[in-house]
Amino acid sequence: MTEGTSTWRLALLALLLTGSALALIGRIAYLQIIEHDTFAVQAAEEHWEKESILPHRGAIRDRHGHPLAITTTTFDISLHSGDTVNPEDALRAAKVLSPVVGKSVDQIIGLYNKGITEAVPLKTGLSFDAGIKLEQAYLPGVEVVRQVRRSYPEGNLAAQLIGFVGKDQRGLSGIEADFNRELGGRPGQVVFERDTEGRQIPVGNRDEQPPTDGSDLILTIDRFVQRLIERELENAVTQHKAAGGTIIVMEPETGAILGLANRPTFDLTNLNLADERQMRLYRNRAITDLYEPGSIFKVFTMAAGLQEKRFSPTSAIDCKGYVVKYGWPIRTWDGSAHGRETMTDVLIHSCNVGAVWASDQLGPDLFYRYVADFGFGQPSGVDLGGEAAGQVRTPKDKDWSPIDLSTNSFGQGLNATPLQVITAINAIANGGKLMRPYVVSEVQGPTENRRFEPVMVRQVVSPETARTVTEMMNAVVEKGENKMAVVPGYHVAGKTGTAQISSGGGYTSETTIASFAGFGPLDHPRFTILIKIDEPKDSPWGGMVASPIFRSIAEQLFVHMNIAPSDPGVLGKTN
Amino acid sequence: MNLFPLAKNRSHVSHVGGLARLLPLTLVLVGFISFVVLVQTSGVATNGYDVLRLEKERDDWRQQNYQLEAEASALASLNRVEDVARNKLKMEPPKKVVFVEVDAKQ
Repeated sequence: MTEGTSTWRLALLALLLTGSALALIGRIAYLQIIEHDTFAVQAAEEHWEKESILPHRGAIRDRHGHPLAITTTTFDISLHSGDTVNPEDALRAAKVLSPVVGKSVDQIIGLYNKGITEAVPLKTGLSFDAGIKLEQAYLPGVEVVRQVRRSYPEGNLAAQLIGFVGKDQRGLSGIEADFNRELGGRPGQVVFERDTEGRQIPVGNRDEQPPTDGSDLILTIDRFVQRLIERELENAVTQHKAAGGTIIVMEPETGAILGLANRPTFDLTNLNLADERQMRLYRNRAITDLYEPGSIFKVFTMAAGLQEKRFSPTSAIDCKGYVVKYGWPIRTWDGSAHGRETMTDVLIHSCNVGAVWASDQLGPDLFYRYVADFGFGQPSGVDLGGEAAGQVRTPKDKDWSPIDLSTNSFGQGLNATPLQVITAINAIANGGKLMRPYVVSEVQGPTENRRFEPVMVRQVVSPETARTVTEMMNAVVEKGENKMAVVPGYHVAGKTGTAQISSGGGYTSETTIASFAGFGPLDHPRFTILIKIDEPKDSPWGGMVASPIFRSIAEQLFVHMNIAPSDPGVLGKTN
Repeated sequence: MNLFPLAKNRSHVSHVGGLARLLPLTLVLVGFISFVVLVQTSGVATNGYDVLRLEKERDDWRQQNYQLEAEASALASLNRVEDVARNKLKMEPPKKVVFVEVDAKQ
């Protein structure tokens, strides 16, 4: 080999090495510089893990702090023996699982031996402590999955008011939906470096934004009152074969709702959201459904006339059993002539003719001003979603006619929600002050609390007028023919309502809405109650159907609220 | 010309001898520091896992609390109280309720 050949070979080798080095440098430059972003993302995806941290959903509690809805973690247990499990392990697992899932050891081993490929559910809703033990036992072929679920310690109590959440724990109806932001909190997030098995590297970088847990809601609802009215409503609907009904109890001085019940309702503890027929049961009828209040409305006609001094409780008229207005005969509810009667008698007899006379003394402008002041034709402003405004035609509306003034005076030809009616009656109980109804009294957050104070909307009538109307309503209870609302030992005020149901531009003759609104005790009202029973089959009258329910509820409320009888020597009784 | 060759050699030997003595010491020091770093890293890793475990335990206890509150509430629910009162304790609603007024002066 000559020296020239050797030099040439060395040069070639150097060239190859240099070329290779340059190629490597070029490749590295391509990967590190040109494709940097792509590979950086890939590396981050491999190396970094981002997890959402769900906040704990706040509880819904009654006014005494007792939970009505609370979030807990439970476990779902299933078997997936796709992996081969040796007989000893299967026996060990079966012995642990058997008492927990309620299946025999042989049954569980049988499932293992079947060689199932799909997960077989063994138990859902397993309690937290039992689930944790199973989770830590690492049983072969056993899948232990945590589930967050809403629990209802009081069962189905106040179902439509509380509402429910979806699988993602977002509120779908009721307070759960209306206050979802407060209850739900804010999710957190953790970003961390993970090892090859996906576990967090303890000494790696970690960036955590902790979640903000949801706030607890304190309601104005008293669970005892709620249960009492739900039970009474259920019994009444069954007894009178009614289509449904609503009962609301309100605190006069504040407008706080102590209880609100509707029928029909749904089973909060056994929801079936796939069943579309259930959809109609989810709405809170007390605030969404409109009805013609009927004779309860005479209270407001009287209050307006007394406030404007157009008449006094002793002003008298001569009732012939009917009156013709604008060519239309308006009759008393039973067609009978009441003869000479005072305004107090008009309320006692629930006389339509007297109410028409009273509204005539006011005239449309004043009458509708008071109708609006009592809160009709506009939402009450309650802190619940989906509230209907109600419908009141006034002289400003094209379709209003003078006969409307007459029919409106006894609560026909206009409609309102049950909540509007009780709010207006509550104004009489509260010395003429109309209060805004509310259900949530406090939001107790992880860092701060918010209290909702009672809101007075307006002074509708003077305290003197309210007192006079209260006495007239007391006469309805104590001096009327039907004394079914009398509570022994106590003085209460009330008014019945029997409203026809509007249908297709007229009224159905067969069905009515029987109602009663009242409050007690007379000297210092502590509760206002509205009872509304839809389409009772055995009797159409509010006095027969709703008055006894008022009495029963009032009796129990007096005891519950520690209100002593006003008549010495007379004892309150409970059923 | 080197007038003191011996002195230079002596100096060289002394320098090399010093380095030779320093080398084991350096190795021991490096080894010790490495050991300390290793122990600390291991400790941090162990503590990190402990922190993660304790955080999970804390979350589990918190969930346990919610679970217990739900159970306590269910036990104190009106339906259960009535059921126990009626069926287990054979109690009945009172026939009469008597209010006794107490003079505030007494």
